[in-house]
Amino acid sequence: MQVMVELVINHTSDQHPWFQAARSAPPGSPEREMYVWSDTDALYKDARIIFTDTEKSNWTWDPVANAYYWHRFFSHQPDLNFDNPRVVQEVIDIMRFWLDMGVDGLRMDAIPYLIERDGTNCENLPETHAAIKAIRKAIDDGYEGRLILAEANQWPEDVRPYFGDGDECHMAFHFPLMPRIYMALRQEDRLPITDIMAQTPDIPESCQWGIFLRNHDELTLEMVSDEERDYMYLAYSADPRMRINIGIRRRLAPLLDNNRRRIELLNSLLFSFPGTPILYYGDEIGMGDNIYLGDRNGVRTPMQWSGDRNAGFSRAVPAKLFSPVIMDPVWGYEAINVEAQQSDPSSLLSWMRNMISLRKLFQVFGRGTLRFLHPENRKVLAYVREDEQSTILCVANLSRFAQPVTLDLAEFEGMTPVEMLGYVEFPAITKAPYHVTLTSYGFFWLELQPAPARNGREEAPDGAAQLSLRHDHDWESVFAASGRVLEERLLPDYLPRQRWFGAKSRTIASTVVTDWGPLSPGSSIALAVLEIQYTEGEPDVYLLPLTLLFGEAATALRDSSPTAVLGSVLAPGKSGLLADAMYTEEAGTALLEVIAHGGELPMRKGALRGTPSSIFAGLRGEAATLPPRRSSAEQSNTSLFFGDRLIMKLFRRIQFGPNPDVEIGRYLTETSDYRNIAPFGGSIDYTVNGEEPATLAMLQGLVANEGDGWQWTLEELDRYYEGARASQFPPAQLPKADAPIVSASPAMVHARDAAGIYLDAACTLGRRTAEMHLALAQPTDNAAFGPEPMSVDDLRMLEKGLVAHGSHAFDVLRSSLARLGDATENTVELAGLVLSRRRAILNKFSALPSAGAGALRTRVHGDYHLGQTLRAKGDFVLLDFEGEPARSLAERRAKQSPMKDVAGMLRSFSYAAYAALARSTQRRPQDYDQLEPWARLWEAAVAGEFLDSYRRTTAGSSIVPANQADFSQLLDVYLLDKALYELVYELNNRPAWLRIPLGGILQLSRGPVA
Amino acid sequence: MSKIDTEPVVRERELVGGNGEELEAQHSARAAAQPASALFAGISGAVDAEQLRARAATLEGSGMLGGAHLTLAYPGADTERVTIGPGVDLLSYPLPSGEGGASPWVQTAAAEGALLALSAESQAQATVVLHPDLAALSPSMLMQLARPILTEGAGLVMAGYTQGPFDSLVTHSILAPLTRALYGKRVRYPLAPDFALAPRVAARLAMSAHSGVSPVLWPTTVAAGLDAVVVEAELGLQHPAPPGVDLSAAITQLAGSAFAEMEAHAPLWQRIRPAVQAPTPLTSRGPAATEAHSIDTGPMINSFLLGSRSLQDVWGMVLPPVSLLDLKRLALLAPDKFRMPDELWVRIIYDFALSYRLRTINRTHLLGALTPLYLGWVASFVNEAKADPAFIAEARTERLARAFEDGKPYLVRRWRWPDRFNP
Repeated sequence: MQVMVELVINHTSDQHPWFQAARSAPPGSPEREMYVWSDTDALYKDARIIFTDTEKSNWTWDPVANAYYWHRFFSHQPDLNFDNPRVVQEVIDIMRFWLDMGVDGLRMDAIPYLIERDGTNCENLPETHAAIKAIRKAIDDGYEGRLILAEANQWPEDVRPYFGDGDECHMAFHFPLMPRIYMALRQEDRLPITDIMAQTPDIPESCQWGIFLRNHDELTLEMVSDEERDYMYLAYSADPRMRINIGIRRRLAPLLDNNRRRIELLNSLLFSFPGTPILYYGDEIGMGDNIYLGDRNGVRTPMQWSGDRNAGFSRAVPAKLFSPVIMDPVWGYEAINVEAQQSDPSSLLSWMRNMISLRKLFQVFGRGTLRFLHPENRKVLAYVREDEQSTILCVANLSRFAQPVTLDLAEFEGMTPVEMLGYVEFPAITKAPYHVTLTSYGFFWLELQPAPARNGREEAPDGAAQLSLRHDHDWESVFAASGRVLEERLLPDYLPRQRWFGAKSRTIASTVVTDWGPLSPGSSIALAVLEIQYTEGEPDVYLLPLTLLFGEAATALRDSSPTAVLGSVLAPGKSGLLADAMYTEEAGTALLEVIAHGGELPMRKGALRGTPSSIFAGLRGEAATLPPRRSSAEQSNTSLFFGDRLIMKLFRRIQFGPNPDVEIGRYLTETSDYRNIAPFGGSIDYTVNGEEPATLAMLQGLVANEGDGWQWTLEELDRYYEGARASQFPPAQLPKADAPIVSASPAMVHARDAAGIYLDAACTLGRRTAEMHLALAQPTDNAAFGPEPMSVDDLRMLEKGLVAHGSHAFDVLRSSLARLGDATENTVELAGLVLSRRRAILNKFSALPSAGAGALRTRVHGDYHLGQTLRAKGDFVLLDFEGEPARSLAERRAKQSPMKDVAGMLRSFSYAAYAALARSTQRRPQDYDQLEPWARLWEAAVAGEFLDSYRRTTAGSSIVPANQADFSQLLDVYLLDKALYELVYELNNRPAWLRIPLGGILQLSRGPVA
Repeated sequence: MSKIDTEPVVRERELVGGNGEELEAQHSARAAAQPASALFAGISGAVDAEQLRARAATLEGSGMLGGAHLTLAYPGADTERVTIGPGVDLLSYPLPSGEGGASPWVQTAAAEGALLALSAESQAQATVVLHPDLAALSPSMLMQLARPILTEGAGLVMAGYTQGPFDSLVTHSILAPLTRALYGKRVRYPLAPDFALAPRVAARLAMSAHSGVSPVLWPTTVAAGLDAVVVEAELGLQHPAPPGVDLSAAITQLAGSAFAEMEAHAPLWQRIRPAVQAPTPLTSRGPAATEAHSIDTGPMINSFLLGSRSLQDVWGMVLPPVSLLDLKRLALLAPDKFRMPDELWVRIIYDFALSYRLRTINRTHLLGALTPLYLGWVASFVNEAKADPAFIAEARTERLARAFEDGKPYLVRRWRWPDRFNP
């Protein structure tokens, strides 16, 4: 235990010998000069009165001295004269007295008021800081490990100077935070807290804030606006007797209506905010107050230690107590006391003890950084505390009702939140929005931990669950002798931890290695084909390249990539690891060799076949070696770079039948002149039992690029919105929300100018898209590619399918409406509008048979959006012809109208416009409405440019309707289908983004885009 | 609980792995290439001075110190530094006088504290602490301990010993798995009397000696706090068991000290998660069935049963209902079927650690109530060995250590929210 005492240096009592001597001493004498005197009470008139209830002036006439004396507080507390060096010296001597007694810290009372100067408010003056520096220096010169805590009831920016450069006070109370915590709680809105914390400046490393919920004074409302003060009075002091000066004289528990959850919530904030929490005595057991006592004595009643006489505080006759104990049935000492709560493990005291112990385990609470998150639901306060050792996410519900909240935790992807009180693991964080539900006044402290350390843990060395090998590359033992260990223990544990494993939400019923083989005889690399059965649904087949590592290689992998480890192995005289081979260079090199050499490689049941493309040698180049490097951006596949020449995509989930990405890549590379794709370099296929082959890996030439089209577009849009924010363009001339955009309007002209080079880019992209479609539609004997006319039956079938899909989307929207919540009011409104136009919107699909008549079906990209493009040397390279991953292989290989791709890209422009808008207005949400018309203008301008270019390039071809009306109608059909698909996706995954497809659907319901 | 000496075997963990002879050769080559470095070795108890001088002369003449200058400190009254040769000096230090009746571990810790202070003055690049029986004071073993510090950047090297399957069971059932689960360091003998320290670890351990947290020094905890690399060197020897220590006193002293360390280092061990490491080939503690049959578990089980009758009140304050129920079931088993599941033992140790922290009852009484439970665990361990001809003690204790790791969330949960209302 360490002791801190209060040192009142601003003033003394009027009974102090110094003051009594000063009164009688002549003006100018050393005794008189200990205090501040004046012949007039007009001096320092700009200084406010602090105790407004009792004092009318800061001056009081003393008939003995025949002068006024200065007091910032009560008239019986005359201020010392810090302009007098003797006063400073006396204060230092008093301070030394206490420090010599062994006191560890000093709470310096009322320090902003030490010095007075006319024409100022007499607070925070430079001379005051000089006096504090002198006091601090005296401590530093003579003592170690002592502390000064400043009581300066000021705005944070005014308190900041009291830390100096680490040479004034070690700590200072953060006064304005306290009332705002109460305000946020009562208003059920986090804004008051986030606002004041945003105004809190950084302080020197050696300093710290003192934060508190209540103290021995009134809940001060000096540091709030008049309106906020009125609100606080109404909210927390129904009885006028609860008010004093500029504040509320109540304790924590009565302020919160003795609600345990509210008390716990506020303490959870106190313990998790940056600073040193300071508890006021009695608040740890929920003591009450006595508003019938004068001044602030109502919150200064005796500590309620026990149910004994005088609450165990004193053995005096009760009538002789200076302050009466509280005795009413709710707050009285017989109901609330330490002794009783010590014996009750569920008491507030026990809770506080546990919380304090928990907080002390984590230095991050005191010293870490604070960063607020900005979920849409403002009833929830979410913030991240972070230091070098820990990252903690705190989420608090300020509402009296349960609240859902969706947090953007993408930056912590891969980490697992562990609830700190119960050490309970929550679902791992992914890029997707993270949903949390909080009970009324509930809070979570979640420690964000790296992926569980079980990853890669070896099995016991007693042979029970470890793979024993006869030699270093004994794959027979891995797959045969110990197969049960691999299939029953290692793989079910390993697979769900892999990012590429797509069935994390499904329960694995069994894992069977259906085939395997080393990449060469005696190789340390083997490929395994796994069939995974789930408790429900269809099985999956996965490819898993494996390696056996020993010695330093094992240690290195274990340290760098523990998630790659399946388990341990024991070979004669040494131990090692069984791991995912894609983390080793050897695997990449071996797989590249399989393609380079071509030919067949037998496995236990099936075979691998490597096939280089006709341009493989040129792509690979002359380099003797191409060191492989694993891409960090692993998704459902694993990618390897080979030097700066090649990229290999290893398909983890394998599907039998032609892979569209390989098929189209090879076709465009080897049979067309189209060059705006990543050139196809070769593939590895797997066949078994004479069935259709499955593609395991695809090799492509590496394209130098400046990033993907999506990111590049967002960056361009950031600049666009910056310009729009500063633009002087009259807001009245901007298009209204539901009005069509006129291409020749001044606003559009302005927007086109502002969009700048992006319009050129859209033009290029339109041309490249059209060229791709033309290349895919060229006549050929290859049945998989030749264009086919769309028959009437085709169009009717398509219409039926689109209507069914659209109806489903409307059903999902209607059933989800109730859970959208009031946090997304605009979205709810938009959703209502869309639902009200259901019939009209679905009728749009009826245009398909007439508009599509005569159009062609060809192979298309199938999942075309900005993210599937690379920005390269002012041009675009188109990627990833796999199609929509959720669809079946047959659907992805089906021939369709190229308009599907065109619609996909137009919707992507829309997404980019609104995603960038959301990003751009994240800090200033109030700008959203101002900038939203600019988003629509950009989208219209860019879409127009893209379509013009596309149509110019396809002119004369029959792949899309030549007639403008048919083109527009067909495009609208596909746009609508895409927007409805997005609607369902966002409802399920990102409700915050819902207004993008809703806006798109509404726009389409009004009229054609093109 | 231990026996003597066999041929030294190099076995180092964490820092290196693989073929022992190759490593030896690599290390020798690296050590030879190092500039002369100061090595401080201290004997942590009374020794025969003549025998020490003879050993020191052997060290001097061996040329195996790789150019390192050695200061060898021993308890004695000489005030002058004695030069044995250009490479070795002898230095005596006053052995701290332990309080009357102090346990051997406390006496050793006091000597270790004095040695660390001396070592700090010598500015040694590596400090080696050795058992007073001088079994490890050979050139090869000294360098086995010091070399990872001098040449590999290790922070702490703890000795490993060759023991029988039923030796040091307090260490194997409580101290080692607890250290491993809490601090992520796989050290089979966390209180090994032979160990080597890098200067920063030595300095922090010296501070720990003066902190008063625990009368016993825990080098591994200190190294974990500094995030230092910890290595184990298999010396292939055994020291004699400390004389005249009864089991209950040993458990009280050692488990109590480990629990005190837990309390002091809670922020540290709650951050550490089980280490991901390759298993170690089993070399030192062979099949145990034959030896097991010579051990009578009857008295141990009786002690457990007596405890389950007379200590219910204490156990009831410490253990949750599910553990008490498990113990009740255990008490009903026939002696040859008596088995204590690892998960139960782990929960018992963790709950006792928690009660130690919370001071649920007097700490001495608390630790005394652990002894019958420990005897129950030993009986279970021996019974397993009897029943399984292929029983390998080290493999079994490895499995127990993993159970401690797996149970760590239980400990953290209980520690952070020590509500009595739990399963």
